[in-house]
Amino acid sequence: MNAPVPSTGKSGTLEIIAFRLHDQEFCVRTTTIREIRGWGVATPIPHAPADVLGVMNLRGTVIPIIDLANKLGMRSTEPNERSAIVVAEVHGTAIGLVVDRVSDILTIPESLLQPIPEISISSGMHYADGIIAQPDGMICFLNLERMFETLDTEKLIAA
Amino acid sequence: MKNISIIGKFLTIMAAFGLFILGVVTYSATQIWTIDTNYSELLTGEAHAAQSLIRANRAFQSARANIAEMTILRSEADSKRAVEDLKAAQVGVAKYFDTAIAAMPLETSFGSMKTDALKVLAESCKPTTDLASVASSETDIKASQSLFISSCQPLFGPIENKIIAASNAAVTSADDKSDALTEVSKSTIMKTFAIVMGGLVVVLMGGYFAIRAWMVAPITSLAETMARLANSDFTVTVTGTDRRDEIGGMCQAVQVFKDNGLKTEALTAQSDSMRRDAEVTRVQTAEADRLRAEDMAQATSGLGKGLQYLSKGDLTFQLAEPFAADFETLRADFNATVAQLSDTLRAVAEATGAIDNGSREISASADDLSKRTEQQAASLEETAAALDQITVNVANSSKRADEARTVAVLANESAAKSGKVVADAVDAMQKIQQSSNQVSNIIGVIDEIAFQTNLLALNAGVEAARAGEAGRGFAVVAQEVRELAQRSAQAAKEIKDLIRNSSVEVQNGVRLVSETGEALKTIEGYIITVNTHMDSIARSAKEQSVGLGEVNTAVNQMDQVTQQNAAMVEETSANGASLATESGRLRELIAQFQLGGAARPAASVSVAGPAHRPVQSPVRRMAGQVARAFSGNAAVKESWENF
Repeated sequence: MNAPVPSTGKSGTLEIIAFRLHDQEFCVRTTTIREIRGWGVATPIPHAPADVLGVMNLRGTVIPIIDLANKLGMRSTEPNERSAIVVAEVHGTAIGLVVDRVSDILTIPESLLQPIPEISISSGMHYADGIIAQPDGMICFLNLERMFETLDTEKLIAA
Repeated sequence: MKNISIIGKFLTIMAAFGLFILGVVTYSATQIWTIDTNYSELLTGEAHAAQSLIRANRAFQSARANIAEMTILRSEADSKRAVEDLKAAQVGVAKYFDTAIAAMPLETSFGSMKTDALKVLAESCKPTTDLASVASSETDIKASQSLFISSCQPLFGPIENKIIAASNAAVTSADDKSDALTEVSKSTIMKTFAIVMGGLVVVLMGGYFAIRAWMVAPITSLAETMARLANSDFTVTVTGTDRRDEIGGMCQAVQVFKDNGLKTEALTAQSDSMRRDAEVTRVQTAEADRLRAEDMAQATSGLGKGLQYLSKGDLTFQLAEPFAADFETLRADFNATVAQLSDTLRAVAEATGAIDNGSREISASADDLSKRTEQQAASLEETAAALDQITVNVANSSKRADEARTVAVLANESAAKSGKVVADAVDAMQKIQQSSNQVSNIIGVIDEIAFQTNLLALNAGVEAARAGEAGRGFAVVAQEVRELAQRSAQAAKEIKDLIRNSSVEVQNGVRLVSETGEALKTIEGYIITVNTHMDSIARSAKEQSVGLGEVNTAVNQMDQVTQQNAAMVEETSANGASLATESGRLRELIAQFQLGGAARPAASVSVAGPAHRPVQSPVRRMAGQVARAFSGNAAVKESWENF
């Protein structure tokens, strides 16, 4: 397990993009994001895992579309026209993450990022790097690199 | 012939005439039938026989010519044809002779002529025909010709002469018979004429004598009888009354005339005897009358004296001198009459006093009645005033009801207009809703644009973050754009909510307006009800008018009665006055008589003056006012100062 080293845009600040899945706020590092798109229908792939909705054409490149809520163990998102696809670059590969709504692009001091209490998660499932406590709610800081291991990614690409 | 009517007599004469004509016609018909039969015989007998003989002669001549032809002809074909012709001629001769024999079977010479002719043709000329039929050479022909000239030709002449003679004899016989028949016809015509003329003369003579005997003679004798009756000679005997024809009826009527004349004579004799009896009676009566006149003169002079006393008013006088026995009762009656008259006049004097008292009472009663009549007139005045006020009220209520009806109609129209306005309002609301929907669509577009702008700004922010320090400023711009987009989205959302609210409000408004429409319809119904009530009120007002009219009539009747009462009061007053006057005069008159008893003096009577006069009726004027009140409201202002 690599120690979570949050990349710093500037000394002591963190660039994050916050989005909403159901009633919960999540965020990732802004630099991992390529672009944000409106919802488009994904082409399903046979025998794909449950969290893979299918693939879509992003300017000539076929990218997988991930049901992020399902991936995070929540009930599946029901995409609508106001849903968004956040295109992130993980292990050098572009993947689309379906989110309910993109909330904000934030620059926060790193000090706000608090680690998740150890006992609250099962071992080996360190998808979250920490929690950012905001006045209007908690934001779970996700680590996409860890969520999509290389093997997974390769498997997806192979598929 | 006495018992047969005149028509029967004429019919008898006509029947005799008819019998005569029947006989003549029968004779003529018999003669004509005989002539016709003879002519028929003539035409079928002699004339036919003559014709047949001439035809037989012609056939015989043609047979001779055929034989001669045979002697000339040489070709076998021609000879054969000549033989045929000869045979036909022979047949013709036989046939025509048979016809002639049939027409005149009595003539025997025709049979011998036929035998001779056929014998000549069949036997005497046979050698010639046999030779000629086969002859072809010149010698044979010449032989046949000479044979024909010697043995055949000479035989034809005598027979032909015989036939011509026989036919001539037949023609001559026919002519003779025809002449005989013409003679018979002529004689028949002459005989018929003679019989008809003679018969006519006989019948006319018979008719003349019969009419003379049956009708003219009895009528002439009856005329003579009637002439004698007209000269009042009733001794004449009327004959022929036993006849049963029309003349018998006339005779019976004349017999009645005669009987009536006899009765009239008897009546005249009776009346003459009665007149003589009456004359004797008249002379006896005149004597008796003279005696009675003397007695009457005495009685009359006595009565005249008594009447002179009476005319002077002396009722105490009595006739003492006796009259003739017949007139004694008259004197007693006169005395009784005078005594009775005296008593009666005494009673009349007493009655006059009573009449004085009565007339005073009547006068007082008339005064009372006059007062009461005035009171009644005053009551009638009050009634009339009240009636006038009621009339004004009824007229007013009728007018108000009319106005209310007009207002109700206006309200109804307004309600109908309001209904239309409500419908328009509903339409307008619906249009507002449509506009809201359109706005909603536009807001949706704006929302979409805000969403897309947000996405673009996010992308811009991402790019700026990836650019690191260099993109810091850009990130700020992107943030600004995002905020704008979010505000737009927020505004759009708010507008959407507002529109939703306004749509709900519009629906509410539509519902309320519809309810308003319903309410207006209800109001319309109520207005119709109000109108009906107003009609009822108007009808009631009219009925009240009718009732007032009846009241008016009643008041009129009361007025008439009051007037009659007043008139009666006046009459009663006048009568009371005249009664007093008359009773005074009566007293004076009675005072002129010398009565046995003393007459009482009568009290003086106050005479009713012309002060009592019936008041003028107020009801007349009131009735006129009621009439004016109903004819127009202008009269309402005039109140009862007029009374």
